[in-house]
Amino acid sequence: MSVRRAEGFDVDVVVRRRPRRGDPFVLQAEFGTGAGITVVFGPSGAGKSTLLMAILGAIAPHSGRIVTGGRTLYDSASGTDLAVRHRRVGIVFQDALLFPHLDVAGNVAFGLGATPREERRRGALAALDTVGAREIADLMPAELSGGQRQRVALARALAPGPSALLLDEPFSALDAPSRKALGETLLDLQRSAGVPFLHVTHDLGEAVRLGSDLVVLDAGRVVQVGPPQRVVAAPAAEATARAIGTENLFTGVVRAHFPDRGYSEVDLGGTVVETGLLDVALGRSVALGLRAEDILLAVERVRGTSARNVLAGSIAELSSGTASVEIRVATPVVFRVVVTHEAVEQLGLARGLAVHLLIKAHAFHRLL
Amino acid sequence: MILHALRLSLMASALATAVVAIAGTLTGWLLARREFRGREFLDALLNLPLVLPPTVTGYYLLVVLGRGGLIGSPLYRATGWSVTFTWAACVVAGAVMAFPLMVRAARVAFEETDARHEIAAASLGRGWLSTFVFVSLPLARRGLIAGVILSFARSVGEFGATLMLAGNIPGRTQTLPLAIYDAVISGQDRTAMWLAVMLTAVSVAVMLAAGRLGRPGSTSR
Amino acid sequence: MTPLTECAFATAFRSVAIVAAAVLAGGPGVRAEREDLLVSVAASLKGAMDEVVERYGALYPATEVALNAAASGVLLSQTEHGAPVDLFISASSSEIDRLETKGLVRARQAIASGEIVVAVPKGTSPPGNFAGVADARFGRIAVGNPSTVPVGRYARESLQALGVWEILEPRLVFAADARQVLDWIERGEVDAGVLYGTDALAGSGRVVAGPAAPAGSHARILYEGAVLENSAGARSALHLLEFLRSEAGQEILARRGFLPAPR
Repeated sequence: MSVRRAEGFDVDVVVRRRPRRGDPFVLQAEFGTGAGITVVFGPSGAGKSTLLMAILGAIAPHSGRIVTGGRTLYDSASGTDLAVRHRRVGIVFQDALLFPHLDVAGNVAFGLGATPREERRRGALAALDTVGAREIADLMPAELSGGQRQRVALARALAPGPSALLLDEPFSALDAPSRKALGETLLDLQRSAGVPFLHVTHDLGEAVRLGSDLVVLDAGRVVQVGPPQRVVAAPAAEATARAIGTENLFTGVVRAHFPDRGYSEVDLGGTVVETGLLDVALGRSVALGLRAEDILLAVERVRGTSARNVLAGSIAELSSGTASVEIRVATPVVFRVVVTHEAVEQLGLARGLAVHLLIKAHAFHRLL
Repeated sequence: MILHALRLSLMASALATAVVAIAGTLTGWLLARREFRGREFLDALLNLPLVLPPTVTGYYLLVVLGRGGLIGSPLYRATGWSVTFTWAACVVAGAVMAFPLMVRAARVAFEETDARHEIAAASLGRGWLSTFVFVSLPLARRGLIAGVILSFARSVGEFGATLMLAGNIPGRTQTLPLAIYDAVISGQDRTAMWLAVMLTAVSVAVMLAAGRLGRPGSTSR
Repeated sequence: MTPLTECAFATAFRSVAIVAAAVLAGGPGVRAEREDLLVSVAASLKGAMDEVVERYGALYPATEVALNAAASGVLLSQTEHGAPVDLFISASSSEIDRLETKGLVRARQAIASGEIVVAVPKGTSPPGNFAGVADARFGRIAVGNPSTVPVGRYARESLQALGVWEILEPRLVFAADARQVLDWIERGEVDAGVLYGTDALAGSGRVVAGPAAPAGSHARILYEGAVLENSAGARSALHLLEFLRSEAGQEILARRGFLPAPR
C-alpha cells in the first residue's frame, strides 16, 4: 500500500496520547508519498493533528521513524529525535496564529535569524511577494482579513526556506472565494518552493484538487494511500466511502470556454465533458463534483435530449444496495451511477454491457 | 528616621519585586507549560506564604535562615554573616510574601496565551530563550505587569514576616510599616498617623505610575 | 531544559540574587570603631528605653545602641533562633527564664517593677477597687491574651486570686498586647481594661487610671534585662544594664510610672 519514495514524506510511527479527559488515543501511521502536496484526509478525531505535531516534533512518538525530503527527523531505532527548532519543518495553523504584537513584516521575518535588520526586512518583503501580500507588510495582524492572515502565515513559514511544510486545515475557516484563491496560491508556492507539503483537511474537494498523493486517516490508522483520483474512485475504506457519499469527484483540465453559449469544456483525463461556464484559466486544473443520482443511463444511443453530455461507455461493476443499485461505468473515466432495482431488471443491466450516460452540463459543480 | 524608613521601604520593595518578577515569571511559565508529577503539589506549596499568617511565615524564615538554621548555619559558619536583622532580611521577607502572587499571576497569564505560538516560534528556528523573550513574554505582558504591581504592593505593606526576620531597628531595618508599629507602641499616635498617610500616598503613586504600563496599547491582543 | 532544571534554575537564581544584593550593598556588617549594641526591648518599655538610650548616648558616646522593639513573643523567637542580640529587655521574667534554660543568658538583672491597674475611658468612673471591675456596669472588658502576653497573664492571675475570673470570662475581650488594650479603652470600644500602670499613664488623656491590683494577687511584675551569652559586646551590654539600675536610669523609668527595681 505504501511506496517508499525519498522525495516526500516517509512516516512509520506509533504515537500515544493521554488526554486529561477521555480515553487514551493511539495513532499508528505508516505511509510514503512523493514530492508535491500530500493531502491527509480524515474525519475529526482521526489523528490528523496528532500526526502533524509528531512530524513537527511537538509530540514525541512512542516509536518509529519520520523522514521528509530524505532527512531523518525521528528514528527510535537509532535514537534520533531532532528538537523542533532543528527540524526545519514549517507549519501553518488553521487560524494562522500570527504573533499579534508584531506587524506583518515582523512576523514574516521572525524565522530569518540574526542577520542585520535591513536584510531581514528585505527577506520578509520578498517572501510576502511570493504570496501576493507585499502591500500589507506594515499592517498589524488584527487589521487583516482571514485570507490575508493565511497568506502571511504561509510567507512566514516559507521565508526561512524549510525542508517541508505542514498545513493544518489552513482553509477551513475561510469563505469560498478565499479558499479558491488560496488553493491556487498554494499549488504555485509548492511548485516554486520545491519542498514537500503535507496538507491536512476534512474537505474532500480540497483533497482532490490540491493533492498529488492522498492519505486517508481514520481512527488512528492509515486506511488508504494513493493518487486522489484513484482513491476517490475506489474507496477502500468505509470512512472514505462515507465521506464521498454518492459524489463523483474529478480533477480535469480546462480545454475551452464558450462564454456566449455559457459552457466550458473540461478534459477529465480521457473523457471530455461540457460543464457550466467556469471562471478558470485555460490549461489550469479544476475539481468537479457530480452526484451519481444526477446521471441518466441508456442502453441505446439517444438523440434529441437537452443533456449536453452523452458519453459512451461500458458497465464495469454493479453493487446492489437495499434501495438502489450503484453502477460503475467506464468511459474510460469511471462514473458512478445510481439506479433503481427495476431499472436494472427492465434494462437487463449487466457487466460488460455497452451503455450511454446522459449528464447535464450544469450537473457538474465546481469544488475548488 | 522617617526618611530612612521611607528609603528603606522603597529600596527593599523594589529589590524584592525585581527578584520576584524574574523568579515568579519563570516559575509561572513552568507551571503553565510543563506537565510533571507533583505539579499541583508544588503550586500549593508555593502558595503557603499567601495562606499562612505572615508571622508564621516569618517564623519559618527565621528558623531556616537564622544562625542555627538549615541555610543560615552553614552560611554563618562560612562567612560570619547572617541575614537576620539586616536590611537584606527586609528584601527576603518582602520577596517571599510577594512570590506566590507573582507566580499565580504569571501562570494565569501564560495559560491564557496560546501555547502553539511557542511551537510556531520553535518551528521557525528560535531557541527557548529567544522564544521566551520575544514571544511568550510580550503575549503575557498584561498579566505579568499586573503581577509585578501586586508584588510591589504586597512587598511595601509587608509587616509580620519582616518584623520576625529583620527586627524593628530604626535606621537599620525599620521599614515604613514597622515605623508605624513603632510609633504606635511608643505612644506617638500623631507620628503614626502621618507615617500611615505617607505609606498610603507612596503606594498609590507607585500603583498609578505602574498602571500606565499595563494599559492596553495598539499592540495588545 | 527539563522541568527540574528549570525549577532549580529559578530557585538558584533567586537565592544568588538576594545574597549578592545584600553583600554587594555592603549592608550593616560593617564594623565601626565604636561599640555596636543591639537591644531587643518589649513594646511596653519602648518609650522609656528611647529616653534611656538618648541619655546613655550623651554620657557614653563611644557606644552606639540600636533598639529592636516588638512583642515579647516575637523577640523571644528571634533570640532563640540566633538573632545577634546583646541585651534583652523583657516585660516579664518568663521570657528570660526560657532563654536561661536554653543557656543563652550570661547575666540578668531586674530593672524595674510594675503594677497592673484597671482603666476606663475618659468621662466614666473607675471602680472603687480592683475587684470592682467585675461590676455589671462594665459590659466589655479588655485584657491581654493570657496565653501569649505577660500583661494578660498577670491580669488573669490577679482576677483569679480575687475570685472574679469566672464571672468576668464571658465579658472579656483578648488583646494582642497592652498597647491594644489601651487603644480599645481610648476609643471606648470597651468599658474597662486591665493593663500596666505605665501604659495607663501614657494614654493621651483619654484614659482614666483606676486602682491597682492588690499586692500578692499576682506574681511580681518584674522588668528584667538579660545580657546574652553569645553577645559580642557583653561588657558594654552589662554597662548599659547597670545604667538602667543606676539613679539616672531609675529616674527616667520612674517618671514614666515604673516602680523601682527590687534591690
